[in-house]
Amino acid sequence: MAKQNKAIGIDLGTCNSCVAVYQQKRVHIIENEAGSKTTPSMVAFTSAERLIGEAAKNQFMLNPQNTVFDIKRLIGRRFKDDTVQRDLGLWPFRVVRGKKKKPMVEVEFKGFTRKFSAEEISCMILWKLKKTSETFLKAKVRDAVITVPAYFSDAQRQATRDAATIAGLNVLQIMNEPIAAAIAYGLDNKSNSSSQAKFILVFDLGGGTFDISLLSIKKNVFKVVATDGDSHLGGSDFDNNLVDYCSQKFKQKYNGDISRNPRALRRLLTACERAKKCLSSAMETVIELESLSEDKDFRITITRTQFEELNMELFQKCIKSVDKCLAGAKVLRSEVEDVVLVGGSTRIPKLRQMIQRFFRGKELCNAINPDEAVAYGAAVQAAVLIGHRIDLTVMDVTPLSLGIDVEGDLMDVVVPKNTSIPTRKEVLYTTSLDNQAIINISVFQGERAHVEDNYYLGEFTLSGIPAAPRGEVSIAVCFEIDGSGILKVSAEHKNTGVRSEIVVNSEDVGGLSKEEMERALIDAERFEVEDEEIKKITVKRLDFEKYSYKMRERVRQEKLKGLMDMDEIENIEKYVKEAIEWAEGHDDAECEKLDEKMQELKTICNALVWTSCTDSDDSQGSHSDKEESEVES
Amino acid sequence: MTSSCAKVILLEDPASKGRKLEEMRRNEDIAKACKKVAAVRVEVDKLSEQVSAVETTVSGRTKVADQDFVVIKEMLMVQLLKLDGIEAEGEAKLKLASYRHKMHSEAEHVVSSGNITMQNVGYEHSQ
Repeated sequence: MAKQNKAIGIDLGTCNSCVAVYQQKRVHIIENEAGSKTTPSMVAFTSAERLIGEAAKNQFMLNPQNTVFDIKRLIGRRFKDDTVQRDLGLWPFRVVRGKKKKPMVEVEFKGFTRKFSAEEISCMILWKLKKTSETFLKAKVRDAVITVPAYFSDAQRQATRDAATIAGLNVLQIMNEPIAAAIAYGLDNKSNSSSQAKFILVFDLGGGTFDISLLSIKKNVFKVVATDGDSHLGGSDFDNNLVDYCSQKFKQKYNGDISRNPRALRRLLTACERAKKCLSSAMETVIELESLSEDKDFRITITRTQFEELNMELFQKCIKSVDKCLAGAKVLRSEVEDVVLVGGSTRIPKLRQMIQRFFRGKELCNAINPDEAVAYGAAVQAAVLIGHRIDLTVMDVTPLSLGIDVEGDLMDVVVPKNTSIPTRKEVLYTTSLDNQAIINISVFQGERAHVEDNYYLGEFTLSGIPAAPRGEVSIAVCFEIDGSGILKVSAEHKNTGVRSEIVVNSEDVGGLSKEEMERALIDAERFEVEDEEIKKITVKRLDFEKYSYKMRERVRQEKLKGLMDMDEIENIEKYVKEAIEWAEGHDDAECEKLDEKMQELKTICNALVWTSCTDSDDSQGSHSDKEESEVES
Repeated sequence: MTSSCAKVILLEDPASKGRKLEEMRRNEDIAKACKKVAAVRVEVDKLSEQVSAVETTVSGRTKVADQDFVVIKEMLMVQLLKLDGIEAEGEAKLKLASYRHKMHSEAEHVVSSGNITMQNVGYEHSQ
């Protein structure tokens, strides 16, 4: 085997860790043995063995006292530190004071009570990630770049470095997480030419922590200017809010209390987590739990708007942190050049919208999977440090499938949609006639079975095929998309080497507007009349809901201002409240009914809108239009 | 497209591929759901047996079986969470719902009839 010199990038997270490597001009996120791209940062000790990652997580419920997680909150800290003392109560495992005032976790392992330092636990996780990479690369791995939060002290960085060293890794660099994320998006190269410092904001909302970092970059050198955030805010907080809401609804419906029923709560939590993920793409989802408590079935429809309303306070808290961070550094929001999203919770559409609005409609960097962005950047940095020349300009995916037409005017997909580019795919085809000398190859883009329904990109011919019976000739058709989205399709006769190719403009492949339009068209065609109707009602209902929640917010603001007549306000408040309740209780309301209700509500709220629309960025009329197009696209 | 240029042909049979794809996918989905449900069913049955086995062996002396029972309960819970996560469409959905109802109440019954005073050590720490 050729001697391999590969360096890995490790994102050692509080809840989950991720490892990546740069090879063949691409960054690969390495999957663990369970096929998952992130590994839980957990270590468990049992009477028989030590478990790390997925295995530790799976047995957590059986052995909570001896399952260690959140170790990143302990590393490099002293036992007496405020944060350590505060977190102590939250963990099921024991933390005691060790030598040199270090916190140590105390667990039962193979029948003995043993103490482990945070470095030792981190080391186990790093060792596991190293093993995972070695299995993937089929070679020994030594060199690594490891990321830590920007606010980590020297002691915390040194402790992380020590942990890696014990795990048998040669630490090339301890790197700041936000900088790694910025590098993943190639932001270091982007500002190469300018001598003026540019600002980048990294918004990282993960499983359990929330970090805001403001970076400046000047001549390829990154600097952390300011940080902010909340050490205990993350995805699980959104889940918990949803759980609370559901158990309230359950109480209303059956007058039964599930907060004392751990089995029911756990089922509800699992379902809520699933619903949250679903609402990042769907406008509404149904939580259905049969026989949840005392033989009673629970069914509830959660709309995206409801979910957003439940978590609005948390979202606003996040935005406030951004504001605080910028204010602290005396940087204007207009001075921020790029905004990078990291962490799974940044998939929530409302949050993205709020961040975007805060930065006055700036495009956000979100093309890379937010769970993997940090490891991605670390892998790039690792490759640079061992002397690779990196040429990563665009990290993108194909928005639609690409393929050619085959007999029967059918579309045969060569590059499926959402394939990350650059990519190269080759498929073998043959002739359909005896002694066929010329083959015509048409390239299409789209998801429909028939090529005429898809988007035509171009065609070319391959001639000079030697005479042969049908089906005996083999033609290799190859699709190549480079980093900037340029598609090259080539066809080659395997035996003679006769070749022909076509280059399709990047605008047609990677560009957005045309394809998005095309996709909307295709999707619209697919819906049958019935679906159309359901969609119409859903949009109406969502509009109605949005409007009533918005009015509720207005009423609250108006109350604070105190400019309007109190009686009038209270009257409107009552109507809005009734409207919200009505919408919740009537998932199946008809079109006309909804129109009627909407009209009614609008008439009542008119007084409110006229007085307060002056201070808002969008007036009501355009608002509802905008929402409608958003739902349809 | 010139008339002398014949179309390319796929090695597999392309005509049937396009037409049947939709239906195949639908059937596959139902079959997959059934398979998953069956797998859960087998596990739950096994665990229910274990519960009654524990019950008969302890017969009064509860302390010994505490840990065993925690393990069985947890394994049962994992299976039921799996069951909650199975998705289906149309007709299969109704069947699945009634089936889930049955299995969850059964499981509830199994656990409570275990009749062993237990402290739910693990459950308080659900994330």
